[in-house]
Amino acid sequence: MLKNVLREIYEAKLFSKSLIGKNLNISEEMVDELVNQLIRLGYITEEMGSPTCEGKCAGCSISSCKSIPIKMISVTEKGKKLLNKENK
Amino acid sequence: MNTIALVGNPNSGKTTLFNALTGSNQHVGNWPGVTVEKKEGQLKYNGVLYNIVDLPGTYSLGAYSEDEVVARDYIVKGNPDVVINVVDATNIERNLYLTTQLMEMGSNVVVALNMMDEAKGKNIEINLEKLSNNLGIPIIPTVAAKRKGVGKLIEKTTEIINNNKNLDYQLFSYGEEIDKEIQELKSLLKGSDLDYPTQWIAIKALEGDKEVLEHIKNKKEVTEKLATLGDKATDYELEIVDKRYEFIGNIVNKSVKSPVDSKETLTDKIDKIVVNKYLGIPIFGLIMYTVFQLTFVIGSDLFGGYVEGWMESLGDCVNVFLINTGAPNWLVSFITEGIIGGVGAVVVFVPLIMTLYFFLGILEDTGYMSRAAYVMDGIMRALGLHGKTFISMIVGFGCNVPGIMSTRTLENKKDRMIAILINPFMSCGARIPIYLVFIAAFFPNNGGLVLFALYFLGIIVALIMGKIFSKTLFKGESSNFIMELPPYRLPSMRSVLRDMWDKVWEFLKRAGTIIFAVVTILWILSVLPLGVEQYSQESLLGKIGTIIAPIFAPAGFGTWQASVSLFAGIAAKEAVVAILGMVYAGAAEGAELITAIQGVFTPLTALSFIVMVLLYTPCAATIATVKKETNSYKWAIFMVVYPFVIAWIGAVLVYQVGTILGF
Repeated sequence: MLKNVLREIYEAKLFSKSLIGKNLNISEEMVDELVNQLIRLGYITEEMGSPTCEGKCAGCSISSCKSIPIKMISVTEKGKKLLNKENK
Repeated sequence: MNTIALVGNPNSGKTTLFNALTGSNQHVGNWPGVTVEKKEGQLKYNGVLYNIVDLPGTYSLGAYSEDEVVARDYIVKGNPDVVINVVDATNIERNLYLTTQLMEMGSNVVVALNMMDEAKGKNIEINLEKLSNNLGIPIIPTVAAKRKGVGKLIEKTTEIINNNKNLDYQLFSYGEEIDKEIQELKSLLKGSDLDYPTQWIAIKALEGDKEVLEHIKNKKEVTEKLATLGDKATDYELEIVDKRYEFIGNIVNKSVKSPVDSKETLTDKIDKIVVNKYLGIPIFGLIMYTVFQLTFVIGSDLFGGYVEGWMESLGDCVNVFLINTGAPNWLVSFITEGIIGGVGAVVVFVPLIMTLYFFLGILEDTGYMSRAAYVMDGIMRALGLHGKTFISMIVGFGCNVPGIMSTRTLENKKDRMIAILINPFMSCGARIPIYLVFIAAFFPNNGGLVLFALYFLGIIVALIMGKIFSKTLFKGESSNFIMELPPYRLPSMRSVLRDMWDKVWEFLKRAGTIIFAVVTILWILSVLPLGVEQYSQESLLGKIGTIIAPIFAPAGFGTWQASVSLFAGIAAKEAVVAILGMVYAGAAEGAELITAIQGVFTPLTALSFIVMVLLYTPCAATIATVKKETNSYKWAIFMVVYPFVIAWIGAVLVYQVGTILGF
């Protein structure tokens, strides 16, 4: 299941839990769980748009700005290596 | 006294069940050496007392958090007679992951399948007998909140304790290769005096569990065996986790029927259009145009007049008060023309700024910004730029400083440098008052369109420069990532209004600090040398402006006033409006400033001026951030010079082409 989710992420143009869930016939909650496992195992990384915006930046007019709510998922080298191995 | 441990995922109703089992017979403490709360209580059943331990809520029994370690250490070392695993019946697949780990530990597990009422409400059908048989574990349905099934759970649990017999469930296979490794490790561990069961240690060692590896570091044969696995060990961790899910999946498929959600969600339907290859960009443009248009309709036409009126009344009142109290002329001039004329010229745009951020906040809160970033990502990639660059550009629309800081998410130096260098072309909030003054003066009927065109131009110039940089200064490979498109949701008005207020408050604070300071300095320059006519070309301010002015002559606004305002804008962009407000007739409020600039600029020179403002040297804080982020004075200086050159070329082009075309 983990490898399938990893492949879905690698081949997708966008990350949508509902789409992955539908493609793999599993619930969105399960996709969430599997994605968390893949992050924990180091096969993918997840980051928010602007991690440096939580505190006041010197000279910034927008001291209260929050991290922009765009989540980005990347497949790590470890993940790519695993997928390549699976392809062989 | 026999002990029963309660373990389960967070929000599975474990604590509710604990309360139902123990009533008021409970006490709270801490687990030794950690700050994790320890809850214990007692249950009396058929005259026998049982100790009940509520373990921290956890999704798994790894070593990734204190909660996990506390729970697993207690289960393995505390030797509870029975472990009640509280499973959320509405989310069985996810919850059973913990169950599989309890099975690996060899615990006497009883599953309390909790929240059965909610599962029924969601039309989830669970065949308890099949589920129990497939797992090899007793399952008792419960609704802990209503104490339903609690009696049966106690009965089953005490029965296992009284029978004094370990449950005999079949462990699942991890695949031939891993099963073989487990057996080999088990035989190597045989006879060792360990705190944990050998089966569990073998599995955890193959998973690379640091605590377990530390525990067996003196077992030379085992560590040597593990060392021989090399690269394979990395994959074993994933294989083991995967097999647990596979085991769960097979069991759930046989015994649980959930309503099939094959229908497209509303989000899916909307996204089919909103992120469509061909429609995505036009829809993004249309949405932004609508936001700008609404900003003018609501912010300017509806609320704009109020603040202008207040500033006008304030100016009049202060003027009369100062004259009546016999204040010296310089003080009257400084306060009414300098402070109220300058700072006030910025403050009158609060309604527009408020309205703009209100609508942008709504877009952000609904989840649309992710879609905007996604549709732009395609263009960025086509231009050889990293998609994350557009996220830093979106942040830059608020302020270029955090925009540049947010480029830290770009791992590749090439991508990051490009993202930093093009960020100042994004129209930050501080530039909005300048656009608004000129739009109000020259393009009042097409405000939304002009504002939209300016933002659009900023993006286009940024993309062109990005492409040029990627082909010349920073060649290299781009990395890949995908963006999450979260489900659309109704915006929370509270959150939108709070964010809007935060931004407006910062805008006002800047007007009261940086803009006030700039206005004060330039007001002093406007009256020096003493005896000179204020705001004249002979004043120091006029002389500075006169030196700079010829540079802007080809762009059509080669006046000392326009030049000095652009110069002041490097301190802070809003200062451009403040200085224009101060130097043009010592304007006392926004409307007068608009009238004053109508007499000095033409629509064409106004357009070339705002193009200059859009693209020229960023503010001092942004330049300082570039220095900090690149750790290089060279790039900070480059950031001063190159946008100025681009802006100058742009402004000259607008003016010269416009003149040739007869505008």
